Amino acid sequence: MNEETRRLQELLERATAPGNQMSDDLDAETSSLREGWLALSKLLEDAQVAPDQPLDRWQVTLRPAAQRRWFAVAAALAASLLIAAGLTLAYRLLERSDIMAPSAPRLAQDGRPLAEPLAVAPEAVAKTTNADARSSVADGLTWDDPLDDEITAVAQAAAWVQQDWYAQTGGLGAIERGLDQIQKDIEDGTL
Amino acid sequence: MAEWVRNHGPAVRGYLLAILRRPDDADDLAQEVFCRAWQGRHRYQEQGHARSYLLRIADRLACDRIRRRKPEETLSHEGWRDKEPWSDSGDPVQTAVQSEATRQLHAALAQLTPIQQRVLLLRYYGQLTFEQIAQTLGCPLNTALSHCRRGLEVLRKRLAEDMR
Repeated sequence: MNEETRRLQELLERATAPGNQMSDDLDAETSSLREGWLALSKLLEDAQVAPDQPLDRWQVTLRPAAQRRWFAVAAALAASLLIAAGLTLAYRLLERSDIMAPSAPRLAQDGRPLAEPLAVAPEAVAKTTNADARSSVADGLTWDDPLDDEITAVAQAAAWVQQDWYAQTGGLGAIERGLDQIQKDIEDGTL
Repeated sequence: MAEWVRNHGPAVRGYLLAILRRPDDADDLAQEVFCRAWQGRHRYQEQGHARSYLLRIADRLACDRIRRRKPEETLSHEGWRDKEPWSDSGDPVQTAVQSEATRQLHAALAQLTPIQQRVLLLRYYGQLTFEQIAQTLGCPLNTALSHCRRGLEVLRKRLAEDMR
C-alpha cells in the first residue's frame, strides 16, 4: 500500500466514522466528505432503514423459496413412490388371488382326458404302478407346500408297500398253487 | 441464529432495502441471507465479524436479484392501487412523511453508481473496513477507496444544492 492510498484510507475512515457529529479537528477535505456521509446517514434514518431500527413486522422463517421448492419436489417424489408401491402390492395380491382361487371342477367327460394333470389321490396312486405312481405324483403336485410334500411322500410309501404286498401275495399264491399241484399229483400217483 | 437475527437483522434488511428499493424483495432476501448463513455456519469461523459475514452474503444475493430482475411494468393508477403494498400505519401524516423520506433517499442513491452505493452502504450498515469492502466487491483497495470518495462528494454536492 503506497502512501497516497494509506492517506486516503485514513481520511475516509475518519469521514465515515460512526456517529452523527462533525468533529472539529477534521481538515477541510475530510469535513467536506463527512458532510456527505452525514447527509446519507440522515436520509437512511429518516427512511427508517437505519441498522438500529427495530424489526417490528419482519420475522425470519428459515425456509426460503428454494427450500420450499425442494420440499415440494421431495413430497411429490415420496407420494409417487408410495403410489407405485401400492400398485405393485395390489397387482401381486390380485395375481396371488388368481392362483389361490378354486377353479371350476374339471371332470373328464366321455373318456376325454383332461388337458392338465390333476392332483392325484393317494388311493389312486396306490393302484398305479411304481413308475406311474411316481410320475403322476410328481406331475400333479408341483406347488411348493411342505404339507403336500408330506402327502406325496406318504402316497409314495403306500404305493410301494401295496405294490410289495401284491407282489408278495402273488408270489405266495404261486407257491401255494405249486404245492397244491404237487400234492394232487402225489395223490393221483402221477408223480 | 436467533441472536444474529436480533443483532444484525435490521442492518441486513436495511442494506437490502437500500440496494433493492423494494420492501418485499428486501424481506425475501433477508430471510435467505440468514438461511445461507445457517447452512454455512461451519465456515463462519474463518470469516471474522458476523455482520460483515452476513452483509457479504446479502450483497451477493442482492446483486444476483438485480441481475435477474425483469423490466418493471408501468401501472395505471387503478392498477397501482390494486398492487400497492398495504400499510397498517394508522397515521396518514406519518405515512406521508415516511414516503417523502423514502423518496428523498432513493433520489440521493440514484445519483450514485451501483458500486458507489454498495461501498457506502456496506460501510454504513456493517462498519466494514475498506479492505473488507474491497474483498466483498472483488476489487482492489484503491478502487474501493475511490468509489467511496466520489460517492461522498456526490452526496455533499447534492446536500449543498438542497440547502440553496
